[in-house]
Amino acid sequence: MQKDPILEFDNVAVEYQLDEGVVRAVNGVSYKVFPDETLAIVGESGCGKSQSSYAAMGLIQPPGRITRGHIWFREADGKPRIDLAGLDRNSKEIRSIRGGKLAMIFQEPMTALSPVHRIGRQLDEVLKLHTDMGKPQRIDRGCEMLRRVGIPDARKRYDQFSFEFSGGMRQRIMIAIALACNPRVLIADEPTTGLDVTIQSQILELMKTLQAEHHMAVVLITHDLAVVAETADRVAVMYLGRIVEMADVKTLFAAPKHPYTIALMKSVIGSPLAADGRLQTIRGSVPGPLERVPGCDFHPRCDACIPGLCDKQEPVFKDIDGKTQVSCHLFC
Amino acid sequence: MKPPLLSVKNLRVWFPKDVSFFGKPLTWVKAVDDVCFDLHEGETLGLVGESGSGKSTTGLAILRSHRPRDGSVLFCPDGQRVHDLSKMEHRELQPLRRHMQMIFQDPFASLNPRMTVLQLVSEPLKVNHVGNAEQRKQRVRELIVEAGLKAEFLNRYPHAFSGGQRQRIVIARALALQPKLIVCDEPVSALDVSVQAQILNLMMSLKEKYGLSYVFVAHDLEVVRHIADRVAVMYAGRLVEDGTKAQVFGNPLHPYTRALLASSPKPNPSHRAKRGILHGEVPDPSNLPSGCVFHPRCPEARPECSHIVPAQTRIDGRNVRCLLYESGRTLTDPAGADKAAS
Amino acid sequence: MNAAKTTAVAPVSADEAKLAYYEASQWSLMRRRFCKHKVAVWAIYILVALYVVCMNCDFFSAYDPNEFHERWVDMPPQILHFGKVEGYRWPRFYVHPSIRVRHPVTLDECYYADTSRRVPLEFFVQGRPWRFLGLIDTQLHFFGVPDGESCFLLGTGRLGQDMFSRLLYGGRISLLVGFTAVFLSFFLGISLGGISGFFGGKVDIVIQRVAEVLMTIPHIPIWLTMAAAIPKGWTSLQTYFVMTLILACMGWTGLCRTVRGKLLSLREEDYARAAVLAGASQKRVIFVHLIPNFLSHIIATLTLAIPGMILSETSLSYLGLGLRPPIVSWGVLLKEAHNGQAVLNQPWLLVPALAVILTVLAFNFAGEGLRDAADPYST
Repeated sequence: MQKDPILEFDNVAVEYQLDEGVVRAVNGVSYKVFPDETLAIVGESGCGKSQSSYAAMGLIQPPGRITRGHIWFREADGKPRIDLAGLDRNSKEIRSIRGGKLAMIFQEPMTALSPVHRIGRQLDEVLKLHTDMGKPQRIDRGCEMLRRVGIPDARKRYDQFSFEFSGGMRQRIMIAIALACNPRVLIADEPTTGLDVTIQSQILELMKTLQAEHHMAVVLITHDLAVVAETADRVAVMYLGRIVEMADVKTLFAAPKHPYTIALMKSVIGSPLAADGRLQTIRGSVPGPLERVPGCDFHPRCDACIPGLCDKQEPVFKDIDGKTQVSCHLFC
Repeated sequence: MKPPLLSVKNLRVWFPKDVSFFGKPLTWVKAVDDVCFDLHEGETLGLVGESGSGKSTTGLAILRSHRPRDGSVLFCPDGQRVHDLSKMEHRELQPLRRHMQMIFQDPFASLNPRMTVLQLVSEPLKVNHVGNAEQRKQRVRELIVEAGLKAEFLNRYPHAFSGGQRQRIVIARALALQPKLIVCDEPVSALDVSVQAQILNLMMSLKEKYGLSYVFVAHDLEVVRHIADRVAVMYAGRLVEDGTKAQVFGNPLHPYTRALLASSPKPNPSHRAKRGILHGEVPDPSNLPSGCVFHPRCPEARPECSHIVPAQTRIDGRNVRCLLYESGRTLTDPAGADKAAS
Repeated sequence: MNAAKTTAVAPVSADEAKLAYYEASQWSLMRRRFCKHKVAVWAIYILVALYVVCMNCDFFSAYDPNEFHERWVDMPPQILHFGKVEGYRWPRFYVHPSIRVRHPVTLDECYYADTSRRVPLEFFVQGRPWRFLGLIDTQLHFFGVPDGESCFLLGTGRLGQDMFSRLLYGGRISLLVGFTAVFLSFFLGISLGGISGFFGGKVDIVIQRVAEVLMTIPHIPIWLTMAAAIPKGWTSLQTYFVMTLILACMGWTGLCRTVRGKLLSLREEDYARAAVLAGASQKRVIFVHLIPNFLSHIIATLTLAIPGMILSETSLSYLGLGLRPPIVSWGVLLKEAHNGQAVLNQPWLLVPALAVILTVLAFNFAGEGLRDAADPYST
């Protein structure tokens, strides 16, 4: 049926040990990413969607650490899989994978690019680290990448600094750097947030084209359900460090199962479930990072909460109808 | 007929970009150039555009946080006397301030971190000498409950609140003087989706309850489609098109509006379509293209677009600023007009 | 039962703590944050101690700083000991008396401690008269030794002055110069910077250009000229004030720029704009919204500016341009110790340098802590 997953999260948890207490940023997340597909991880701020991908990239900074679980990554088909969660974040292995076969683009193209180095140098660095190309080859490859992400006059732009580019152009350069080594998985953390709509659509279109060319998997992390609807194949909805629901994009938007997903869909203007006049909203607010909710994380805000069950027992994340995986007592 | 609550005529806001050693402006950033629109009582005007389109500057210039270089802002809070805000001195503006308020984008920046909720919400009352301390406190209590907060939050400082709650404080504060007009500068774009919906709902109910008029500045077309009655689209400091919501979203005339609508993603995967892609980027406002500012990116640009500045053309009660519609060219089929011209 | 009770109580106290946090003003948040900065807290303690001791140097010193003890010239410090002293029941602080002898070979005078005798230190003793706050005549001193004995904790100078007393008196001048000069330049800087930042336009341009011109002038020649302009006949007090004025006149430019920059950024803050749009007067915006919000930053900047002033005074006096004997300041003391001979033979004369280092470090650490605390919302 399907190929082997390239990236597989198995019950991963990330915790931050602060003076004030322990913040459970990611609390048992499991998902698989297959070649050629786009998995969107969506959730509101503080739900741990970025942290989970940082875990894969070995970017969790102390006092944070991966406390349990495995992140399996297969560099090539037929090769044995590696557990990224078990690697030291500065180890040689993770450095050889990070930026090479497992690439990432960030929300802030302004800060992700070095302002003091020419962009060519930054492209060159990645190629130097992950390939054994010679200098002239690397320059050719760098310029080719710039052309492919739609930067005209690539040879000239190769020697310019990041501040000479607009926000949209910078994001293109980020993509060029990320894709320079033909990654198998591209993690895109809010790649179009902060960009204008017309630029956003250019970038999303570009990512789609390049994904098809490279046969890579994209993990798209975003808060914007419209972007998800436009680009994703499968969607994982996160709330308080857990995936509450995962399904393919059409199923999720047309028939969400988890009460949180339903409520979220109803509050998004223009989604199939949203009403025209007043929007439905979720009562209460997201608990603070240090607060612990017993039982199901969502039960204090849930309309379908079953007293005695939801506030006591944690729900299990499981497949309910072959299409949707949900973590909710209503479907047990 | 009653004059409109707000009538903006040929508004220009220019900022000096490069100044000489002695502070004399050498070049200008034309943030807002020749913008005209009307807003009637009880209406919401959505002002949309990309970054650098001048939509926020327009909002601030209406409230005279920026001094316009040219044009007029006619404000008529009581339906009788019309005041031209653009020419007034700060002292003259003071009594009119109570009729117009503002809601800012970033609820973390728009509340003074050193003041309690009580001090924050009562400030407009205090500076306008409304009531005594006890009456003001009572009024603040009503206001924050109205805005969906609890009365016991009175003595808390802004750091105790989440973004959505802060925005509620900002709204309570804006409502304190019972204004006629509220300029909202991207009031929900810094908030999470579910909180966005809460704030939009609150704003809609307050509008109905108090007959407020909003100038709603936003980049998110879906939000504007939800809340606005009329929509004005801005591009590089110019207002390119305005009309009712149905007109602008249903039958956009200006090529930019069409491109904007086409490229804005919809949260509905079954409507996933090949997106129309607008090439190029928003021009630098200090170095705008000649003629129509949109012509370098316009899919329907013609040679004359690069040197003729289009005038505002009125069609079916809406305005559009495009050569395609000037001097009685066909309305529905600009492509046909294009062919005919060539 | 008991367990149930504790679980019932715990959330309430947690809620109370939270409520206290919610209702905590920004000053108290800053205090909390500052207290987390251990080094800065210690620096503050050290500074308070330094200022208390030096401002009350009449009380804390055993001798007059300009009194010559002919018998004890260039004497090394008498080390302070703690232990039993004959004739007293409880252990206490004591020193060994010094004995002066001539070196049999070099014939130089040298001192050694007579370890057979212990001279107890007495606290709160009567001594030479002084005025508390310049008002109350008193003879009370913090410590002293019985008549006929000597107690030079940091040794003596070339003319037999008690270095410990001189250190404290010098500290009074040096620390005060730093403080007053900073306050004067603060006054200049904040008013000019405030005018510049708030009104902008032509005024701003003029003030900024003046500040820039002042900044480009090398400081030492200016000091030279100004110090040379001080008439010889002036009293020490007059010289002292002119010194602080000179320092302030040169030092306000940096502060002026900080204030202006901060004001410019604060004026653009949404809440200042919101206040204007709510109809607040300009006066209210300045005093209610702008000043409280940048006061904390200013305090931090000031704290970081004081050591610069202290160093300026010290270096000026060291160069012989600032204060001169008989006024005692740390710079004056260091000038006295500036020959190579002194470093080799009388290293205790360099103790004022240690005091300068300690003060400057403490101010820097405290200033850094304050600066971090000034913005309690950043992480």
